[in-house]
Amino acid sequence: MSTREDILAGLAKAVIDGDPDVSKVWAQKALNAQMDAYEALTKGCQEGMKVVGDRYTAGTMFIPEILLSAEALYSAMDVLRPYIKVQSTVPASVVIGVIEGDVHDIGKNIVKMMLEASSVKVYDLGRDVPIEAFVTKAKETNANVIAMSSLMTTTMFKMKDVVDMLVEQGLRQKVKVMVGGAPTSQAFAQNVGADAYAVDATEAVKAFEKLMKGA
Amino acid sequence: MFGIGISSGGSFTDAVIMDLKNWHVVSKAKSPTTYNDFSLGIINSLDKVLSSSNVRPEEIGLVSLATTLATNAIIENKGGKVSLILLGFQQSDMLISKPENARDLPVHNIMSFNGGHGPDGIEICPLDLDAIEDGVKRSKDAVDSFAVSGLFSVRNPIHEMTVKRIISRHTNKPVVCGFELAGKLGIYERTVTAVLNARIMPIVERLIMSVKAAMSQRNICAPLMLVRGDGALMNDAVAMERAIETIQSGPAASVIGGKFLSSKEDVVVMDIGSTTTIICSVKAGAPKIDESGATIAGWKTRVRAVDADALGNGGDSWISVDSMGILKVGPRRVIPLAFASKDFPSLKGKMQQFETVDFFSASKAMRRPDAGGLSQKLFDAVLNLEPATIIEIKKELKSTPVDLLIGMLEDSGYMARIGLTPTDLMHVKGLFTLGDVEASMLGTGILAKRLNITQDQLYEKVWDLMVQKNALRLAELQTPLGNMIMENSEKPNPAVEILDSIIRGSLGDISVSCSLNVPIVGIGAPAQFFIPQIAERLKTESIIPQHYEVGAAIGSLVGNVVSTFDLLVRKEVMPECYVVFPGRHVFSDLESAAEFAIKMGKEEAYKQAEKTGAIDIEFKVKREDKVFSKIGFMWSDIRVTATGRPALESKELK
Repeated sequence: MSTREDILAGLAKAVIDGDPDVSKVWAQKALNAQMDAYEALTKGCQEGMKVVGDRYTAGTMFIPEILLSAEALYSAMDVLRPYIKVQSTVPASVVIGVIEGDVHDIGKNIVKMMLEASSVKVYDLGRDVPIEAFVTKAKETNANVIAMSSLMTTTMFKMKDVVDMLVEQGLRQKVKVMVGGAPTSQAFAQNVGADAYAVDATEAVKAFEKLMKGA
Repeated sequence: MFGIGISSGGSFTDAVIMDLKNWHVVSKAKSPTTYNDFSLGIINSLDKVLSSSNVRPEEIGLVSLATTLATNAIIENKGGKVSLILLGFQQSDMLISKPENARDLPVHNIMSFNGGHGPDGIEICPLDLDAIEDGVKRSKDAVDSFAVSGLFSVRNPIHEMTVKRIISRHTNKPVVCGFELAGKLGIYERTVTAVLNARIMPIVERLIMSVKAAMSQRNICAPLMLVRGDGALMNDAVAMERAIETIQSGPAASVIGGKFLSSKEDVVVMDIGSTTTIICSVKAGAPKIDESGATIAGWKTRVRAVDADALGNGGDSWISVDSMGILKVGPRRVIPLAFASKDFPSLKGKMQQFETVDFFSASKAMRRPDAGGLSQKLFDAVLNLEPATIIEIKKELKSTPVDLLIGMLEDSGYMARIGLTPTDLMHVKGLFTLGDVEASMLGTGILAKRLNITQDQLYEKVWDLMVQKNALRLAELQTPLGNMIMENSEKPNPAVEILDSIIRGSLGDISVSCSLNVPIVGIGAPAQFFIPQIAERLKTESIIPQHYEVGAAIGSLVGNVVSTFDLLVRKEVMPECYVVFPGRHVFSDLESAAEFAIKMGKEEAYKQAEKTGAIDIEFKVKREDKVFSKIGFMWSDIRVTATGRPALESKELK
């Protein structure tokens, strides 16, 4: 029988290694040891994901590896999810997508995964998302945040359309807006009227948490 | 040529006559404001100011008016029946957009139809003309006016315009479109603006008609102008169409007047009235404007208006002692003993008999309850006993929860309270002599005795409270606290407490000091008694200009006629082009688009300024291009402002 520490470390390592089979096994071990599923997720998997994020920021890990880590995280999460009783963090949800005209969604998927690992409910609209879809989904789900990305300079103005639409429909006070993607910047975010800009996925999670605290 | 400026405030309607050549004040007058019919007080002050000067009516070239009529009508939820037509936006969407705690829209009915535009000004869905026609036919006889509001009508107003034409084919009742009154995004706020405008149009029209009739009876052939919430003037015809724009008219006139009289570009203007103190800063000669729109009675509009703070603290604030024995001033407004005693000769006797300064009056209230039942009974009892003490009322209506009910009737304007006020203290000190000084003295004595202090100590305490409250609020407005702190909130706020201590000069053992780096201009009758002390606490200069007591009336005359038009030029890709809004005018290069936008802006602003009564119109164009690294040009916000003098006209000119 493994100790609690072993299990948490095992989960973290499996996520860092990006091995979904191993992470599934450790997740099951956590359940067998009567561990709290939420603790296993936050102190095990999420700790591993943090390391991944740090290494990505430091430039020692790369996107394909992160995608594997994500897969490992998801497979552990599939095992643990039914046993997670209470959400200890503030209930928060986000509508995420790549703006209309753009199909570059790797960055968006990483942000999605990182947010899910922080127990955020994510409504993923995918890529090439029409501007109305963001607003409609946010209205329908009562989401706290709309997060959009774009990698092409030609689609950037659509982000302003989404913000304008929120303002026009009186939703701007209720829904926060985050933007990201290579051509975007803090200045851009401010000028289109977004609340936050993030340069990468780890920053995106931090920005999200900051927005939620401010709310 | 002369002009008459009139400002109709909480208690008094002030009027001035100014020589329009050199802007000298040649005559001034004060009359009571008449709540049930504002025009009476306005006409009284007009007569009074004319008779106290040598100016002949034939020499009057302009009459200009600031009035709280529209504001009052909205607060009291008065006005005509409005049918609201929404395009591309459902009633359920309106509920989602509605800010928490906002009041429901005061409409008779709401109809939603397909239509509306996207942020790019392209039609989302064509208008269903037959359905709209049917709807209009069905509701036209049940309502007084229509309000039309479409999604993104500020980007493309064509749907609102089409619906307006349809309505006008079936009825000649007024139609108000959202885009006509507001050039900014936010369909909820535009709709509120259009609905409230449609609703109060008949009320403002009635006032304008009575004042104009009175003017022509007196041989005054001058144009009548009304002060807009941003301080600019508009002629009677436009004021009737855009009645909502007269909200905040009073505060705007105060700020403009204060700024004008001080001849300074950067100041804080404080207008101490009988009911409220208005505070607004002026930077580089322009009053601070709330660009997002004024909020009135819980309704967020898109009406550009001065960002003035109204503090419930003035000459007629209620001086009371709470259950803990603590002295309080305001925020309730009461009838000063000095004035009540003139209406009720029995007041002084009752004050002595019951050793109290608090009375109720039914006949001095703004209106009567018509619901019958208990409130009617209470109203009648007070009418019978007035000035009535709470002891007498309780004796008359034995088992009724009098305290609660009377408070409710007072809050809804069915009951007026009489009490000790700073105005009374000013009578005691000999600073004012309009009312019955004896009643004021009697009241001061009774309250001082209850607090076990001398009358002088009471005076000092009340003054300190008033001055500190005003100084603190002025300081709060310089910080983010200005928007956060609700007046009279019960919860103590540590930040406010710290600010309060800073103004008083010490935080525990730490000596602190703060100084406002612009002068305070004081206007309004009690200004000279308060402003120097407020300025002293904030370590700045106070300016009490000549004619300060009629500052708002002066402010209502010295404004310009201003019209602004907002445009947007944005870049689109695939194919690359530059599009000018409102409308959707497509160009292949930026400079042609911008040139077109400015030309269109000038035309629209000129047309509106001319219609509003301006001559010698000049333009100001503000163009703000948004250019980003890696992306380049994205969009440009353009605002064209047309400013002119009011066109004058008099019998002599003819």
